[in-house]
Amino acid sequence: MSDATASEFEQLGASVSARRRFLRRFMRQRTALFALGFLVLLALGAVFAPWVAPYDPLAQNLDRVLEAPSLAHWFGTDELGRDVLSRTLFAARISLLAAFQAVLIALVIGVPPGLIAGLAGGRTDNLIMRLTDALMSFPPLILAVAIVAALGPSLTNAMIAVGILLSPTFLRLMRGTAMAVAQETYVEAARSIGCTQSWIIMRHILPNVVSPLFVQISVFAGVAMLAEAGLSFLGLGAQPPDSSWGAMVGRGFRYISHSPSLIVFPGLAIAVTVLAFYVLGDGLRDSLGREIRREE
Amino acid sequence: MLNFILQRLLALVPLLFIVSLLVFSLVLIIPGDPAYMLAGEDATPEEIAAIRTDMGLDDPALVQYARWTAGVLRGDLGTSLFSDQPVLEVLLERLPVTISLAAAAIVFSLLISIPAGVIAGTRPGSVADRVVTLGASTGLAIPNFWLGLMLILIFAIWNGWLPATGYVPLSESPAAWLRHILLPAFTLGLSAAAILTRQLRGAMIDVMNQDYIRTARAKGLAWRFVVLKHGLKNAAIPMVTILGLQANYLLGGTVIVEQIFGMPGLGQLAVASVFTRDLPMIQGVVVMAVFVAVFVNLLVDISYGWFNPKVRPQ
Repeated sequence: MSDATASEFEQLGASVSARRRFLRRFMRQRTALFALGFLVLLALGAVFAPWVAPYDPLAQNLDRVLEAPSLAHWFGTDELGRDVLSRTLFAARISLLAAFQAVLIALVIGVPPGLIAGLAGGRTDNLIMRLTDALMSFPPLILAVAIVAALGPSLTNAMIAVGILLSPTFLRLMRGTAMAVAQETYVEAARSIGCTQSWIIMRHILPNVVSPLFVQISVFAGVAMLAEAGLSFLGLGAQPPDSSWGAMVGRGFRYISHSPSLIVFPGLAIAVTVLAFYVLGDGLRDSLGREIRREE
Repeated sequence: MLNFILQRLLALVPLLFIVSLLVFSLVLIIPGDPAYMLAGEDATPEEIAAIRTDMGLDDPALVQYARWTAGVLRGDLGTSLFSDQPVLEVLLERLPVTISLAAAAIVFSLLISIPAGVIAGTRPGSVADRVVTLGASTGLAIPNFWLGLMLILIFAIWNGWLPATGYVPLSESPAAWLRHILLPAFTLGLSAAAILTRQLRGAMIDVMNQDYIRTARAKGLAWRFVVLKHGLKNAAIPMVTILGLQANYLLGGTVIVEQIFGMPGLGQLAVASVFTRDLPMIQGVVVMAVFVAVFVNLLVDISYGWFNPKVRPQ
């Protein structure tokens, strides 16, 4: 066994135990575990909505419109007599999917240029960072509205806009990690024995950024969900017959004085889910070793 | 100090250049032919061709960009496709509404975050600290449009204490202005208050562990004096930076808050323009919003240099 592979082996061992330490610390975070449990339950509820929901979310019953919560309809009924609980469950699908879509777009837009900026340095780095600064100087929601205005109102376009807004943070995180890791002796060593750039990225940089990235992903899932809810509330996101929680609140707005429950329940669903994402993110951050913890 | 300000202003030039490129490119990302979109659904090919020539859409993108930028620099943001009014005129009419809403939200967020952050930061781990921390997380998670609707429900519909919608200029009647701005400012400012509280709490914990605090207490200064004069004064410096960052978010938040409370500001204009597909108006709103945001951040930078001479260039 050559020296290089021996050190690789040691490093692999070290990273495995670091992961184990991380897991052990995370298992001690009760609130974060609770939040994770809630999110898993919610996701299951969304996936199995057709079986879990008491009614068909689109079935109208014009004899029972705008009813207050009752035993038959726990969350009441909407202006077309549809069951609000069933609609809330089905809307969870759209809200959750949209949030992940936005985070995924942000990762795709943010991670590669961040890596390039951090590794290339110099002019390339300067150019990419200037672009990022410019992007961050826009008031976020106004930029999102402008992008949706140009592309046309739809949930996917709204999530593209939100993804663009969230990407600078991922970019900066990647760039910072890439720059820091590139300075390390072990990367210099890897380079000196002729390891390729892509090997260094896969083997040294990505493993280092995974944990802080997960923290950010969790928090941004919450942020994206809020942004989606806001845009859908304005009518710029989910379009009928699809309904997200934000869109439900937007529709319920018209009946606010008669049926507050139309607004209360989907709004609570957003708040609790976003809070769960934040708490999970906080828990993940607290579980990271002090040496790689970052305040972003 | 003047050098510092000049340097900051100079640094804005490349930033604003890139921003102008991004705003202009909004026209380019419109799927299909913008002239077709602007002409409406039942336009004849001749009408569309006329619009193309009129808008200079047949010119290369670079020429179009140069023309648009030259217009912006002269204060000509084009004409609304919906109302035929000059865009800048409409923007200036609505700007005071948005500014007064954002300013009231900032005042409100400071009124909450300073006491909450100080109380939590001087007693970390206490019940009060936990309540404040949980409250701050909740404040970040509540969608502002939902909070706004709940406030309307409680304060306007059920109890009739405050008006649900509308806006009265400050110059017309300060009392009526306050009554109309309270709920929107609370709605807009809550997340900023939550972020500032978290920030101030952390900074207070750090500062209260410093040696000079121990010294101040050891020489017998009153607790209140130590906290306010030595603690808060030092912990407040990073707050200025966060406040600058929050200015962007507050401006963005006005889009939703103005819509809920029926306030005739820039945010409401932006949303209305999406539905009328009034692109020059949207570009104008974005330019105006960026201008305000950049200006606020410039002020923050300058005030930072004022507070902390170390960041000034030598």
